[in-house]
Amino acid sequence: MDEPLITKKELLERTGISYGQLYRWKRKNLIPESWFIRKATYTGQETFFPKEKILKRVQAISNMKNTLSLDELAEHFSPQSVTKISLSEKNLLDRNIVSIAALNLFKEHVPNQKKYPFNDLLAMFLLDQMLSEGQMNRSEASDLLDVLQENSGKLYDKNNYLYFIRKMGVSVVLIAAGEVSLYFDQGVHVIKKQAISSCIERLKTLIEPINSGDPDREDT
Amino acid sequence: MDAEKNLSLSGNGSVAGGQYNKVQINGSGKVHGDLMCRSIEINGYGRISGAAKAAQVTINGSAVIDQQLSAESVIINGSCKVEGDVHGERIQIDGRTKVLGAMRGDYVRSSGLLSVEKNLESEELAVTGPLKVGGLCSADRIEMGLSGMTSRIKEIGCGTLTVRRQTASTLFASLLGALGKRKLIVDSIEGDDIYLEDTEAKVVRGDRVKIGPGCMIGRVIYRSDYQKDDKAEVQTSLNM
Repeated sequence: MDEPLITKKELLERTGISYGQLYRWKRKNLIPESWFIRKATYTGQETFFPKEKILKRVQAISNMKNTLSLDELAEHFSPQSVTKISLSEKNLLDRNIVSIAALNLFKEHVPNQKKYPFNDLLAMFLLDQMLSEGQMNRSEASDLLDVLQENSGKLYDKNNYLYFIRKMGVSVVLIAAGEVSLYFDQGVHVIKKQAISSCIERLKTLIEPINSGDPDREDT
Repeated sequence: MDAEKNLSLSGNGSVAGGQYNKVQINGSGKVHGDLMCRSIEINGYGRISGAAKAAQVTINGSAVIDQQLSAESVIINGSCKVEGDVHGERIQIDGRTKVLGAMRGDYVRSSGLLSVEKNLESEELAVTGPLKVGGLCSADRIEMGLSGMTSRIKEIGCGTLTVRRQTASTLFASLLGALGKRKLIVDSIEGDDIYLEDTEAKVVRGDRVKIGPGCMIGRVIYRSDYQKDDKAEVQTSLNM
């Protein structure tokens, strides 16, 4: 862990929340389990949190808890909440989220679609990135879209990686669930290894201003 | 599978899982696969070799569920073993229940033996029987009455926690009491309002902490208020 940590005691002091609130929020998954970091100290075991994330999150919950119920808040902070996002073609291009080339390729792949839900946006976003970096050509794009669409429901899990590899001119797109080590034979070139979660984050920040009023929404 | 169909097993038999309206097992019955229905009632012995999902689950005999049990209301009067997690809004345990996964509910009450290997989470938790939790026991309000055997919990995190000794009211409880000392053993307790009796804990952290008779506490770390009974042992206490 490189990021600065804060002890539970310090967190409670700085934010003025109580143990009861902290545990209630934890039960409601407003604070992800992975943020509770246990460490042995000279005074026994202590719980630490990633400082910046937790302070921001507690602030956000405190601000919103008067207007929203805890269940609504839980929905808000869940990584799944992106599933409610859906944009029109015009919106997409106006906001410069993806290039027109990527959109057109996507439309060839899935014609007659007016609204694009988040997983389609993510697929386009990834495609756009690969195309603009010159790592992928147009015919390979449909492989990418295939794998992304078929597995879109599983993509929101935290640590998935997208691999794009090529051997003797034949390309393969694959998604690895979790951070696993992959070993290829020598003829294989890994052209791109992309953490999907970081793409989701970037895409969310691009989309966010449209679904205005949620500046605090972030990854978990 | 017809969702309106009732399933009733009397005697000895086994049946495939699926969707039903009411499921009743009176003799000894086995359900192969997942079961989804409005109500499950097990009066004899029942085994569900899959997950069970129902609005209402009542177990009067003995039951084994191989995977997750989820229901709005769970009542266990006999004995029950769940190898997965248990999710329910209202969970009432008067018999003996062992959960190998986690338990999550809104209102959990137990007067029997409850053992949860992972976390036990609820909004309200009222326990008068022995309780074992292998992970975090977390609730807004926890009330424990200690009687009979020793309760062991790894960690408690809550708003209000009250642990009181309880005099054995039934023959069963007094027999259990003869087997072991009634007490609560826990690694760490964190809460806003804490009152303890007969509790052994390494660390107690809280806003208002009151240590009652029979306690043996390593360290108490409190914010606004701390009281200690003369019949309690506390090694160190400090204001945070």
